[in-house]
Amino acid sequence: MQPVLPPSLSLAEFDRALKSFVKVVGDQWVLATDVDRETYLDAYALGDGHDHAPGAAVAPRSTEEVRAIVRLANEHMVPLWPVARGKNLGYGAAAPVMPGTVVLDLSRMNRILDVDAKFCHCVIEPGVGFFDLFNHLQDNKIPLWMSVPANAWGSVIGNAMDRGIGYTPYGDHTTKLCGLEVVLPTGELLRTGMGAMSGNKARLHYQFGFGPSWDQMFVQSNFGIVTQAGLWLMPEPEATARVRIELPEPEDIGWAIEALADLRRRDVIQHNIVLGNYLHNASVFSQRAEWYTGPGALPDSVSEQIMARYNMGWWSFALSLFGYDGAVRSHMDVVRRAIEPRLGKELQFEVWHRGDPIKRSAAGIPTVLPLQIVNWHGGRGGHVGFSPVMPPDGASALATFNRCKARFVEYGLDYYTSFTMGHRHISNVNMIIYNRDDADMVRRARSLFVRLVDDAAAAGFAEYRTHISFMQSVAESFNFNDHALLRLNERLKDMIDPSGILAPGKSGIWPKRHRRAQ
Amino acid sequence: MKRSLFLALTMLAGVLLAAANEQPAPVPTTGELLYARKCGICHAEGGTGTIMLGWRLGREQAVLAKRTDVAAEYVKAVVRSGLNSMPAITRVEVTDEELSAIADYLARDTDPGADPDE
Repeated sequence: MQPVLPPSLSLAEFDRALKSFVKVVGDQWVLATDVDRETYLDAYALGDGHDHAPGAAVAPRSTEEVRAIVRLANEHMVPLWPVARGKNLGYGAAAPVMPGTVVLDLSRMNRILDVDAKFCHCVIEPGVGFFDLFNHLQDNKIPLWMSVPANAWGSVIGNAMDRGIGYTPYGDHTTKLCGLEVVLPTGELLRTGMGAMSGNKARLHYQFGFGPSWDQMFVQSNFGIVTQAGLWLMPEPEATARVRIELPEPEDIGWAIEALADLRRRDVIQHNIVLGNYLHNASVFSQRAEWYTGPGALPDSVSEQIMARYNMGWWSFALSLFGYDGAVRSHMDVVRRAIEPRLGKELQFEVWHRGDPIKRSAAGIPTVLPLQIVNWHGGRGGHVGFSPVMPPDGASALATFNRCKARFVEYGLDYYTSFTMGHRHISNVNMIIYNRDDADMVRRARSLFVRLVDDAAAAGFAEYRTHISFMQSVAESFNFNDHALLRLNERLKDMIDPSGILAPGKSGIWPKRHRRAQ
Repeated sequence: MKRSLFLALTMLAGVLLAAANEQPAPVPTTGELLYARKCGICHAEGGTGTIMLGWRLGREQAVLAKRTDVAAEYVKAVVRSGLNSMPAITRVEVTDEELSAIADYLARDTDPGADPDE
C-alpha cells in the first residue's frame, strides 16, 4: 500500500526523512508499515479515519532524541504530530489533523522522575499514564492523591495539555501543572516558570516565574512539545464524604445547576460535577438493542423504562466533600440544606476516613469503564463530544437542553448529554455515539455535530476542546474582530515554527506553508 | 447497575472460592505479567473488555485469560487491528516481542488444531 505522504513531499524525500529518524531512535522505533499506520488511526473516527491518516510514527526515548527528531523534521520539512500516549479517545486519539503527518509518539518517555511527599508534587514525562502514577503512589504508600479523567487510559501530561478534567479538588488538570520542559519547533529546549533559571530550587512551588508566563501558550497549541512537567498532587485528606443524587425530571437540571453553582463558588463543593442524563449510565451498563431496535432516537417511553429498570432519575450526579472530618461534616449539613428541600428526601452520604480502603473514598481511582459507551450500538463503536462552555445558569442550561435534545431527535440519534460544572462555568457535553459501520449513522453524526456548533455559536457559546475533524470550524467560531485571536496564533506560529513542521492544523492553527491549502 | 452488581458479586465469589482452595500460586510467566500490565486495564475480571466479551459471547467466554480457544496468531491479529470497540495497539505500546509473549500466554491452554471464532 502506498504510504500517505505529507503535502509537497515525494516518496523518496519522505523515505530519506524516515531513514534519518532511524539514526536517532533505531530501526524499531520508526514505525512505517501499513499495519503501523493503521494502528495510529483514530479508533473512533467518523468514517474510516483515513482523512487523518498518519504517514508514519517515530518514538523517541528522551528529550535529546525529541530535539534531534525535531531538527531533522525541519531539515526534511516533515510535519510531526506529538502525542503523549495517543489515548485522547473521542478527540482523534493519536491521529493528526493533516494526512501524512508523522506521529511523534512519546509513550516511551514514561519515567516518574520525582515524587515529593512533603511538598506534594511530582515530575513526570508525557508517557506516564494515570494508572502508572496511581500504582506508583499506592505501591510506595505515598499519601498523595491524583485526579483522574473519566477515561484514564491516557497520559497525565497529555490530558492536562488538552485541558482535561477530573473530579477531585485537583480536577482542573491544566491548573495543577507547575513548570514545563518544552522542545520548541526549531529544536531549542526551554523551561517555563521558575525553571527558566538554571538550578532554581522553587520551580515546582510557584507556577509563574518572572515576566510573561508562557505555559498556557503550549496548551492545546502547536507551539512546542512538552517533554517533562511538574504536577501538584493532593495531600491525602483526613476524610471524604460522597453521595449519589438522582433527579427525576428533565426540568430539574435548572434548579440543580443554580444550587450547585452557588456551592461551587463558595468552595463548599471543590470538584467538577458531572450531571449526566439517564443514557450516561445506561450506555455503560447495557446495549441499545436491549431497549429499542426501531428507527430514530430512543423514544421518551423507552427512556422511562431504562430509568425504571436502574432506579435512576433523568439526571444523576455524584457529590464529594474533602478535608478534615469536622469540615466535611459541616459541609454535609450545608449540602443537605441546599439540596434536600428541592429533592424531597434525605441524602445518604458515604463517609471515608484515612486508613479505610481507598475504594470507599472520593479519591481519583483510574478506570476505563466509561469507554463502554462505544459498545452501545454493538460492532465498531465510536463517540465524539460537543461541549460548549456556558455560564452556570439554570434557565440557560434548561434552554440548551431542550434545543440539543430536539436536534438529536431531528438527526435520529440517541440523546446522551451531561452538564459538567466547573468552578465558574458549566460545559454541556453532548456525546454523539455511533456505529462506525453504519455509513448513514456516521453521516448523521457528523451533520449533527456541525449543526450543534452553529446552534451554540448563535446562542453565544463555543467549545473548550474538540476532535481533530472539527478543530478548524471551532477555531473559526472564535470570530471577534475578524478572528483576531486566530490571526495572532498564526503570526506566532510563523515566528516560532518557521518551517511549519509542528502539528499543522492543531486547534485550527496552520503554518504559512500549509495555510493556503486550507 | 443491576448487571454490574451481578458482575461484582460473581467476581467476589470467584475470589472467595480461590481463597478457600488455597494452594501455592504458580510463578507468573513473562507473558502473564505483560498481559496483566498491558491488557489488564480492560481485560481483567470486571474490566470493560471483559464486560463487552461477556455481552457478545457469554460469561463463560468473557475472561480472556481463562479461555481455551484463542490461538496465538489470532491474539496478535486482534491486537494490531483492533476488534469492534477495542482500539488497535501500536508496536510502541506493546512491542512485537511483548505481543508474542502475551499471545503465547493466552493460547497456553488452546488446542493448536482448534478453530477459534474469537
